[in-house]
Amino acid sequence: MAPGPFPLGRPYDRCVAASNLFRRMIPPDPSAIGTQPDYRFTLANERTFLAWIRTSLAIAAGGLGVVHLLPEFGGREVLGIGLLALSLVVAAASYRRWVMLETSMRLGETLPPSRLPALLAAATALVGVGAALLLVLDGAS
Amino acid sequence: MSLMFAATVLARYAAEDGVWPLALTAFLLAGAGGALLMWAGIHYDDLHTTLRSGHDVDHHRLIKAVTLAAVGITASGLVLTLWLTFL
Repeated sequence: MAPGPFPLGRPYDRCVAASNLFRRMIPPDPSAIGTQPDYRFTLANERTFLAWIRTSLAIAAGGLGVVHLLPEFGGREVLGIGLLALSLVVAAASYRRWVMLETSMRLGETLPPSRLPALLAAATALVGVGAALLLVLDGAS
Repeated sequence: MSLMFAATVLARYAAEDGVWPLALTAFLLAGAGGALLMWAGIHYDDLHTTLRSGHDVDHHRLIKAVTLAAVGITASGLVLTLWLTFL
């Protein structure tokens, strides 16, 4: 990588790389791109986004509930932290997904695939199996 | 309603562990959820005006605000739990 214009080249380059990564992760406002699609599609996309947010907040409430309301349960921290981390990922990814879908619709392109449903399904299954395992181990001890 | 519920659980959790700034923030977020619910109820019919006039129905600012609130709650809960567990 070519050094930056500042005497502290490496930190500057890292800042630029972090800024570019941040821009890629948080895409720009889609309303400035392309033409307005059928309003039913826009509203359907918005409803899907809100459903993901509801899912995220329900997972967060579940995580906080596990940590706080089950003081005697051995694996509550692991389970709670896992659920809270999952909820954070879902909340952040749902916005990115909304922007990507809105941008594709405005440009008349094919809708991009998303790994969010697969991630949520796998993580939920993992948390379920983990919770069952912790419950059995906690009961046995 | 989900925002109010998650924020209330976080406020209770933070208050019982004495993290008052976070408890206050979560309480305000629960209030913001209630205000959003009231706003949506009062302005429900107004949303149709935009549709009838053919204007853009993209609520980008509201979507950003909802995302920030959701990320704020989940991140605060995660940080609080990590802090109380490991420190």
